[in-house]
Amino acid sequence: MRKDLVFGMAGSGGDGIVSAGESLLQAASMEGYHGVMTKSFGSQIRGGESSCRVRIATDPILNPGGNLDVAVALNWEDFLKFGAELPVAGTTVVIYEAATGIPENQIPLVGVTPLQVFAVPIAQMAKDTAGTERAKNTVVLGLIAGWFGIGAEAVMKGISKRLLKKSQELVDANQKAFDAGMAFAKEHPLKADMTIEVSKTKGAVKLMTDGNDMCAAAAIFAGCQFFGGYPITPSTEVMQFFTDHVWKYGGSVLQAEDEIAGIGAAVGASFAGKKAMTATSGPGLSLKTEMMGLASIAELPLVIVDVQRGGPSTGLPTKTEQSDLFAAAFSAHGDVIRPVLAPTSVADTFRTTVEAFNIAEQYQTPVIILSDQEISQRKETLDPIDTSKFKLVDRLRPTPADLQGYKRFKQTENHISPISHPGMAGGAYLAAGIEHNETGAPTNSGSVHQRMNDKRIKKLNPLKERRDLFEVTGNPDAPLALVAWGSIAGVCREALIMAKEQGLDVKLLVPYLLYPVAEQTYLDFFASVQKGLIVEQNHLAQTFKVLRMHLDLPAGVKSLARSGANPFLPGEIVAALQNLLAELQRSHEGRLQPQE
Amino acid sequence: MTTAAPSAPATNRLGLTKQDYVGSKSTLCPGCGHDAITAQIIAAAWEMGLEGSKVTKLSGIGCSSKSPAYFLNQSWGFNSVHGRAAAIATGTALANKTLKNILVSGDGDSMSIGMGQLVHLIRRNVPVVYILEDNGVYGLTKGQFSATADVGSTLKHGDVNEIPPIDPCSLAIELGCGFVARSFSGNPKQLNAILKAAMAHTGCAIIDVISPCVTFNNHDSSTKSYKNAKDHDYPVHDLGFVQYNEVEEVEIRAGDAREVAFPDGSVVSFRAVKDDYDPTNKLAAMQAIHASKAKQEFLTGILYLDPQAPTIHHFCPTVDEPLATLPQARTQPGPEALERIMQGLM
Ligand SMILES: Cc1ncc(C[n+]2csc(CCOP(=O)(O)OP(=O)(O)O)c2C)c(N)n1
Ligand code: SF4
Ligand SMILES: [Mg+2]
Repeated sequence: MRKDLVFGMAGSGGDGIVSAGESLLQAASMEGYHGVMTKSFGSQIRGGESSCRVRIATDPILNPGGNLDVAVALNWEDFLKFGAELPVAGTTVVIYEAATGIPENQIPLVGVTPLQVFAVPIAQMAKDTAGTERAKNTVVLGLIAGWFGIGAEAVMKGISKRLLKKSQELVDANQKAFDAGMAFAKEHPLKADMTIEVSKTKGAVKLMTDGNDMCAAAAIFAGCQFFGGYPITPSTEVMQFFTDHVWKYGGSVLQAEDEIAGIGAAVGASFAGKKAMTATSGPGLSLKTEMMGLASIAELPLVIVDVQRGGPSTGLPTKTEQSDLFAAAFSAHGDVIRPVLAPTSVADTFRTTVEAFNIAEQYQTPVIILSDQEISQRKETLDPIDTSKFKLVDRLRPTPADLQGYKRFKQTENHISPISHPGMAGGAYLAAGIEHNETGAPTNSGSVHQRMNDKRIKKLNPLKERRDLFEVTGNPDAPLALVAWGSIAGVCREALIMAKEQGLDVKLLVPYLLYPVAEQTYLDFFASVQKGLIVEQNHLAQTFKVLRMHLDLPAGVKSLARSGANPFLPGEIVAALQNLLAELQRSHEGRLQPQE
Repeated sequence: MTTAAPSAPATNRLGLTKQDYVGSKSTLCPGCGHDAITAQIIAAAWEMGLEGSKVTKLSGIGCSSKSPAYFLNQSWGFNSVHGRAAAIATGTALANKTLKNILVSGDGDSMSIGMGQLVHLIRRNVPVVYILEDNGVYGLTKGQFSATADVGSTLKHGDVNEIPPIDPCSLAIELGCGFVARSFSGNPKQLNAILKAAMAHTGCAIIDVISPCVTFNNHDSSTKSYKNAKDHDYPVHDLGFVQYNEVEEVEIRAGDAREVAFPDGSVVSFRAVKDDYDPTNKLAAMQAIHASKAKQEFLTGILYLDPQAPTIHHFCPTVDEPLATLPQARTQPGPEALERIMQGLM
């Protein structure tokens, strides 16, 4: 019996591999399992190769998993195009289309001997039972249900849910294809039992959703009433979800002519007194830079979502990377600090988004949410969100007393000034990109500029005290450490568990607040640390460098950084930790040598 | 049974076969209008005998903007950023007068994000064959409305567009463009003639080609579907194009066709289909476009033509030789030049 299974499937566009993955995840969710699904496509718009990974487990899942337990190749050419995204190992059961004509001992996987290999006449079985090769994906699901025991009924329900929209005949035909897959599995048993244990929470209803939808849902919950943006992969679904729902609550959406206009309209809506947002990806973030500066100096609350993809420029538009940290933190002219937050999973995208609106409103500043393609587009099963835990913040509005001789940019103890909006009697002021005094009147004065910069930067200091924007797990006194954010945090959480099983004494710091850098939080974390790794998915080691700008890292803390698309595997992080430990032991031994 | 000996493939005036003008295999959806346009770009370039090494293929981002990879493998491609190919083209043209620049863009790329660049490209009359592959949606980002979507057109899942569209042709005429045409990817013969004439034009040629997106915008309630385009395509004339080197041989029947000559001597002839349409009369062209729009038709053909309009090389005087091959002695004037500047500052 297993507690955890990772499936990886690939085929060409028309094979329905991704819908098969969705049905499988749906079934897992109905059976109360935890599940995560990621998809990956080739560069063709339609057709071309497509793949998905589905991980199903009895315990909560921290990331999409490492090596595959089960690999399904409808043809090898397409499967191999995904390379390290679908890693096969000695523990993998490989299932492939027999019509490829390749013998089981000659499958084109170099340097690995899988646990077991099955050539299955998938297309033939689909034709014989459902009368069409299009039911190939259903045969695959039958095989999976037969061999790995994810409730057959639930899987078939997942399939029906998708096909009923078309016709009942189609459902019946697919039932036959499914049964044929199940029967094949029964006739060809696995060497070792790989069925998954029954879920402890069988019957509990779970949501099945992705990061972009969660982000838009959280924005609506937070009271955001305006979205201005321009479509760009992989962020477009934030706009779509928002469009589908926000009108019910009086809000509106502008699909603008470009990203500059999109954020411009959001700045305008915020000026008019409403919570507003925009969402984009790398190239769009670059275009929005000037407007973000305007929002900073005009002290207007605004949330900007950047769903990172491989860059620069068009880069790898459908693959994940963490290479926009520098851009999020620093792409600005002038002296300015913008808070940058990052969710680590679909589930905490909700919380992080609500937090971003709260910070934007509290401090009257643009806030960037750095999501990434993986979190934004992977589907996860999760428990319904308990909204009673959240407190919503609105901007400080002027009292009647404030409106007597109103000063929009009044210097106050906490550097935050009451903000009026058009229509509020007595609250009129000039919002501007030019430097201004407390009333908002334009100025050229160096000393006013000095004071205003001071106000705009110091008002954010309390953010650095927010320990709740950091997660520390593991032994607080551990000598070994990991730091990771975004989707890589999930990989490190799993690495931490594996490392503990191997007897390593490690702890993990996951920042949800990336910028400004909360120096003291890091210093406290590193106090016990002799060796450690800052793990991130970009070539320049951007996080490592940003941290070093702000604090002295212990000498033994190194960077583990590499470009996007290919996932980090928990195992390789544990191996890196093992090396660090070995170094540590050598240096201790060195120190124990008698000194002559 | 005997099989006919394979005849040698036809060649153009450079001795090249059509195969010499193809690109790599398209990755667009099977049936996409953009691929039909690509086929005519290949045909026109071959028939014109364009010299591949002197052609640039510029584009922005979108399904349409991927097309330059699918034609003229021997030429210089630049798949730039979303909406900005016009700016790249302007710089390229200024640095090298001898190039034939082909720019492929989409309705999203041109009429939304790239509008600022496009209008100034036209205004400056930069020598470029600007092919706007117009499907009314953003194909690459999965089918949102673009700024050319007609009022009343719907998306697959039912959303209706209520915002009036921008018409690239009226806009181009208004901005003084000397070559404004519209065609349909499903009318290869007309498109071919327009492309060849545009390649002979020395200034900016704007060609709005209705090019259905089979995946996101080809349903019955879309005004940019194949069916709707076929039903409402209204060619204003039959076009003939004769390249300068063939003018002597081809006799154009006098009397029943209007002719306009390009500076190199090539000639385009217009044979009226129904009413006589004068493509050299700007106001009449505008009027006809507006009148047809009210009838939900779209006029196709060369809607406006003025081959003599001065180009950017007139406004920003440029040297005839490409800057890249000017000898260094001329591009780096040396210490004496700096000396003279210093003296001016004394
Ligand atoms: C700055 C920027 N914003 C957004 C995008 C995403 N994007 C790529 S293509 C495209 C629209 C394409 O539409 P169109 O030009 O009509 O081309 P089509 O795909 O319809 O041929 C968008 C919004 C991008 N690449 N860069
Ligand atoms: S999505 Fe539409 S525009 Fe893009 S390649 Fe497919 S059919 Fe063509
Ligand atoms: Mg388009």
